[in-house]
Amino acid sequence: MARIGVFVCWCGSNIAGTVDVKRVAEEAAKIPGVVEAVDYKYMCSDPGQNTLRKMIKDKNLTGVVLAACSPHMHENTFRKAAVKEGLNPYFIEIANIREQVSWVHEDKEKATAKAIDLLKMMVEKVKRNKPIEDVRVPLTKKALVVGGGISGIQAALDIANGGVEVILVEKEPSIGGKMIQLDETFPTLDCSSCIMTPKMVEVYQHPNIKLYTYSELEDVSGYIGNFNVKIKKKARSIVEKDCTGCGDCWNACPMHKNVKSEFNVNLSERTAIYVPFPQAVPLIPVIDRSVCLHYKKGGKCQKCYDACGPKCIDFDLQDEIIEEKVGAIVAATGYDLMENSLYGEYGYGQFKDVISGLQFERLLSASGPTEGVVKRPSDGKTPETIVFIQCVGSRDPEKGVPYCSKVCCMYTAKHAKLFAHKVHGSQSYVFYIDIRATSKGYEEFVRSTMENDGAIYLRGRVSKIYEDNGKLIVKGADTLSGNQVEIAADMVVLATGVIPKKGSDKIAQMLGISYDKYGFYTESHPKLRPAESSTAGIYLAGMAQGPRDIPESVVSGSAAASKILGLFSKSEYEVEGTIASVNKTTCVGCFYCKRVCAYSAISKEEVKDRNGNVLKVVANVNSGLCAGCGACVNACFSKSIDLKGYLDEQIFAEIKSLAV
Amino acid sequence: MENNRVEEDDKNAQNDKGNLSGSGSAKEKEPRIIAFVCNWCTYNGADLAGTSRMKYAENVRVIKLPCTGRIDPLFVVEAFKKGAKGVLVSGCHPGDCHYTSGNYHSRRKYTAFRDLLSYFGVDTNRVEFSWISASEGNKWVSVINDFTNKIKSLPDSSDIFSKQ
Amino acid sequence: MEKMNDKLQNTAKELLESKEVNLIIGFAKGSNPLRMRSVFITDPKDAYKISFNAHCVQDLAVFLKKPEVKKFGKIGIVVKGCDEKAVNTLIQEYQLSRDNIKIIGVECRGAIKQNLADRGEDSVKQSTVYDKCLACEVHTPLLYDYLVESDEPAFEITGDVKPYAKIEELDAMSVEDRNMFWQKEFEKCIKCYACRQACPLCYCTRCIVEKNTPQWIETNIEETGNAQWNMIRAYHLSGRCIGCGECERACPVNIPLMLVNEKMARDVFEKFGYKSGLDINAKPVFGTFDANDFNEFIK
Repeated sequence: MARIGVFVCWCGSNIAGTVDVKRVAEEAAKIPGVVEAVDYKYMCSDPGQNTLRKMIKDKNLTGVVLAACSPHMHENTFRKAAVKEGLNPYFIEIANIREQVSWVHEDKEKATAKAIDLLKMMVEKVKRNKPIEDVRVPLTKKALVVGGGISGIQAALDIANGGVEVILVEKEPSIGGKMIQLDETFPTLDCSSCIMTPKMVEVYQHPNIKLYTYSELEDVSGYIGNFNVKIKKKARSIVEKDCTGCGDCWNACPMHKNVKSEFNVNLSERTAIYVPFPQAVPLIPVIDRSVCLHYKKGGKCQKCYDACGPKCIDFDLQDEIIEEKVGAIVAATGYDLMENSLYGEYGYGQFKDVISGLQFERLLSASGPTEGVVKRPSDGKTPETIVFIQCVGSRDPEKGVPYCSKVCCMYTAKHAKLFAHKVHGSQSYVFYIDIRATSKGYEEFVRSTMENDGAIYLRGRVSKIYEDNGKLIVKGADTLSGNQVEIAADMVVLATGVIPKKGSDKIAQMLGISYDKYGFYTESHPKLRPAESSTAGIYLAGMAQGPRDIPESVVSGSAAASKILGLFSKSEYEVEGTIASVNKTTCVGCFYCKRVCAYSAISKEEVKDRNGNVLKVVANVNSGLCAGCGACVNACFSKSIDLKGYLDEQIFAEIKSLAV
Repeated sequence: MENNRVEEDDKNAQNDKGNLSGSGSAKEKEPRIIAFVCNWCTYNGADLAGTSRMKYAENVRVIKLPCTGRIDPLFVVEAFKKGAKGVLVSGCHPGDCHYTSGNYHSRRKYTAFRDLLSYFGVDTNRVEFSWISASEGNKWVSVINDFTNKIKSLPDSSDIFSKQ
Repeated sequence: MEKMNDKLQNTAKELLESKEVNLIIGFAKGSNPLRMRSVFITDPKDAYKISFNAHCVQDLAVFLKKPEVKKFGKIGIVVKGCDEKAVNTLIQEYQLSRDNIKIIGVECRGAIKQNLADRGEDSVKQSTVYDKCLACEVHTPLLYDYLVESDEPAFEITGDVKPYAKIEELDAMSVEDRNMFWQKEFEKCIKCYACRQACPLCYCTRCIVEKNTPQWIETNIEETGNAQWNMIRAYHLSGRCIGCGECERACPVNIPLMLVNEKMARDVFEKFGYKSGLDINAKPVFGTFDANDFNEFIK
């Protein structure tokens, strides 16, 4: 038999002024299963809690209902008191007769009747409670960061500096991401590689960071605290530990004019064995097997091997799968830029001197193909007039990108400014839709480009670009003056929109995190949990979440790191026990539950017979991931999932207790 | 065993029903309204109405659940069967779900469910659905008052779930 | 018809001989020539029994949920377009692996109502076929491994015969009148659950009606319990029912269940643009959501 104790709190006159607490207690005493019902002036006070504890002990209670203030006020107080007497904390239920009765009603008769109803509901509920244990998940205190751009680097460094081991996986041969390709950064014009390379080196030298470059995530299983990760370390064809980065190999490579440099965005060439850029971390070359003559011509060419002093080139190296166990993951997969060729009218690909913003960065950069002298790609002449076009792709639903790419206004202003600084007497024109310069110092920066550097801003779109006598004729509209404009330019720079990194959707599927219709990773809560994915233990950083600038990317990397350090500061990860559980006997494996679960907490589990034959596949709730929302319960046709603490049986009993 | 015990209690409860002078008695003329609300938004909104000492009709009885995604439409049927004249389902506004998407799933299900109810001849005026945030104590008050008044204005229902 | 049957029988025979499947589910002639029955063939020598005509009403996909059938592993099945949608839904809901099923699709020109066939009707006309055939969009099955084309012409649709015309009539009624209509219908229900047994998509091994803590549905035969069962059945099939009509055909007391199923299918399409059973890779309508879903009824 259930032995329920009932306490009706007066809350001074807060409740007792409107609700006849004596009568509530009297009526409660009549409910089957209730062994004692008392009223008390302040249940939350120490004497009140002692009364509660005493009755639990003396009457050997199996459950307690308090008719008092909102459970959001003191549920925890009473649960803690109950635990001290050995009662499972989930056997405490609260009937909210203050916030939802005495404070909102004036008719004492009706308020008392309602209080009795709410109390009866909770008695029926508590009778059907099952003991619930909070879930404790062990933590492997090691983190994985996917992506070695600025946000991933920041996350890795912060975690590592917090004393936790980090594995950093980068797809490219070097870390550095997009930021290392940039010249100077807005709005302070500090040189990107000057502030980036020290961080890259710090990563490389950090005792807590294990760096896998030229490596990709292959598989992820497990859950918060206990992820099993497979990393594919692609064959570099170099025995890394022996390489000194001297450069003899790439200087010897005969393929020096045939392959476009990815780092210089096709504005220069690289060899088949190469480091992407001189400050690469690690400074270890990689052989691009798709172009290397050794692989293409049956092993004949081995000039790099011959040139290599330590003989660390090994043409036969194979891809390697590395398995790691980690407790938390940061997804910082970064971004790509939209194809410039989407806009035929701008002539990208058709005219050599129509280039992208990132290419212009390389032209400005001292480490770029022109060593920082602005020269146009077609004939190497220094341009005197450049037209910049903003919103190429962004804010254009027609091209599938209705959002603002956020950084283009600023980097275009920077481009125009740097161009004015480098080529005296030059002229920039900027076609824009709106100027979005909202962070610290941004508006002033754009203003100064206009006012001090003489850039002419034209609000409107470009309709056509064509070549005429060595000039690019840009036709467009200036919507503010209402005039059509035609500019004879030497070069055109397109500020192309930001899109999620190619392949980031596959990573998301591996990690079990969700992404929006554009492919950007979605946060667990857009405002309150911006660093977390919807899957416990997986955090987000950088442009993988959507367009953002460098400071924001750094902040997001640090935020993810601090979340992980917080998680790892405890010995175990603890979750409330009010989670879903599956009746595997009746589950038929339709997996509607899995479809509606926002936390990837449901997995498929094979039920096998003694001989190992699979009898059926059923749903399994991972208690470390389940957040206890109950959407799966609602989705289950055969009612084979239930939610602890809110069992179907309990809700039915609550409804029944209200029967008229 | 566990279940038998509870069922036993229920039988006693039935016998004792007449003695309870709560709203379980036949004296009550006021229509009973059951509200299934989510723990994070609407329940807090209702609490806020309390802390702000707003006043509203006494007819509503709140059943708290973690999320609208947990509120099975079949609970609504059960509530009608047990004599509720109106049922309210309320949770977080779209985009605000504590569990990111429970309210979206719920909205889809209730869209179909309401169509089905109406098709079977149940007056959908008796099922209300609302988004009430934790800061909308005033909205809670107006939704409850409006709904109570609406229910009072409806003729006694004779639909298939209100037969008992 | 002979050409169709030859192709059907040869396909079945080859599949069994090559051991690509261990069982073929098809139609065969019954004792009454105007009634077709299901047949289960495991021996290629028996493949001659399989045939097809306008009396093949049953949705054979219902057998795919049975453990007795499942144990054969690889199965071949003869399906009309409508029944094939059930196969798609079973695959979509992980009840069936695409690799384990060989779909022998037959092009169907419409099935003759059984009550008319029992009185000797043997011609396919808009007045003799089921309502689902009048509204059919899948005369040729959407997904198949083998297609057996029909050699019959399509029947003429003049437009004055509206499928499920009663739905519009009910929609136009007052809520009280609809209540009266359905109360009368559900009064007849004897809770035999034949509707469930005949449904290819009611595959739960323990149905919600069999659950007693809590008791979701009154077990006794009385109005609220009957209505509750019919409500839950319809709700569980919303966005899933593929309209084969087997529940209605199985109902011993002739409750017009297709008026419910079809109404829900229409509503789901209207509100969410979703039609069930079309795509094995589609997300089921109630397994997903859109932030911009229908919101009008919400305060």
